[in-house]
Amino acid sequence: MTPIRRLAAAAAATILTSVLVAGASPTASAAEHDGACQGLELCLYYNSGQAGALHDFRYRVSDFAPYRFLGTGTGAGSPVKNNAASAANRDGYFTARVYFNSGYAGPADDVPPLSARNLGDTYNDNASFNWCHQQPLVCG
Amino acid sequence: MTARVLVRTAVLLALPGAGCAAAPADVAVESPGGGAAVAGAVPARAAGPAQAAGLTLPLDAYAFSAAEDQLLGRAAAAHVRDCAARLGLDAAAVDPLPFGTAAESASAAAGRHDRRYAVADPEIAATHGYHPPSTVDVRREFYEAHTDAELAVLVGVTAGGAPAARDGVPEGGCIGAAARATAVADEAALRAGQDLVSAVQSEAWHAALADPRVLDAFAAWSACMADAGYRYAAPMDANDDPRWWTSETAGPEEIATAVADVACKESTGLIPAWSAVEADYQARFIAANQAELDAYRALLDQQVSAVSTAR
Repeated sequence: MTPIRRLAAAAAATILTSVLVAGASPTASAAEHDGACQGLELCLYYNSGQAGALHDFRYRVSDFAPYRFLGTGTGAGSPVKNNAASAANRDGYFTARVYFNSGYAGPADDVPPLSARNLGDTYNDNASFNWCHQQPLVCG
Repeated sequence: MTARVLVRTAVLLALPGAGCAAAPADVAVESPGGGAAVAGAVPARAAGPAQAAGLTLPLDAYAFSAAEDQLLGRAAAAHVRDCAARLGLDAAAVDPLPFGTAAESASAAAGRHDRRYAVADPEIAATHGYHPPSTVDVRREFYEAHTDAELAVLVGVTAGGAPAARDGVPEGGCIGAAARATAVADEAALRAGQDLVSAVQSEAWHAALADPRVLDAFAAWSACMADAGYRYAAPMDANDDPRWWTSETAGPEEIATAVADVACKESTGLIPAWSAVEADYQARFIAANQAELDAYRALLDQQVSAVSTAR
């Protein structure tokens, strides 16, 4: 991707502070990898602005290679690795850090607690993600 | 529009002679072992055993320092304890809280770039290959240490992700409320600043990857790796080799490759050269967006002073 495309993506980033409980089923517990973005999960989307197919993760992932976008939206079935355009963090405290390279290496984009963003550094270049304390920003 | 300014700068800097090898770097990268490494001059010897340890980059100024992190963390922990006590949670049941100690703040700040150029420490390479050494999932630990009733108070949901089924719990629980206590008035401006920092970092990273000084350093590293029997064009190709990432731990092949990788990084001076070029681009892109970044830094300062004055 060209720098200008990446920048356009960053410039177009919309930030939606979401309510943690919105969209969560009151009865079902949130299973990861089920295609529904629920509490305590990091959700990666195929398109910018939290659009298109998604994949929901509960725990850190050192390499996205095994995962594909779920459901029937745009991009469903495509690999998650290097194909995510936006993210939503549904955890109330932990920051999700999305890395350009596998094993939490290289530059990274932070998705703060209860926020959503388009990916800047990692736009279509996401290889891994980890959860981090906020203060200090210590990642597990 | 800040992003447009940045694009123009990136394009300008990509022009021949507009600040690449011809211009001496105006930014030095500090590393504890070897002092300042200047872009364009590839040192014959690397700085020290952990070549990325203690590295600072110009953009670090637009994040909380270790001392600021610690101050904010302490204030947040105190806020959470008060809030949890009001909701009837026993003091002992509050711990562990996911706030770091002074030592953790300091080591997090010092080590923030340790894996920026993938594995850089020979001991880590010999033990963990390309995998990061920590195996503690801090978040899993926090959630698993608490009962659902405790989590309902602390974060507003149970471990299963269901919303707290009791009244009086603030949104996001006591931890969410603590975060709001230091929130700035203009949340959108804070997010825009974070996006700008992210964009500057991204542009500088990619500009460095295309810079002839970095490409020369990669070529030297690649030749060194080939001599050791490993064929990779660039360091991140070795890190991202799909063979390593099918398991959570390193096998012998991965460790052997990572050990050779770190040795080649050291013998070719890769990390000082690469990071100096990256620092150079960061400084240029920061200068092109100075007013917006100053405004963002002022928002960070506001959060720190809100905590300082409240004490």
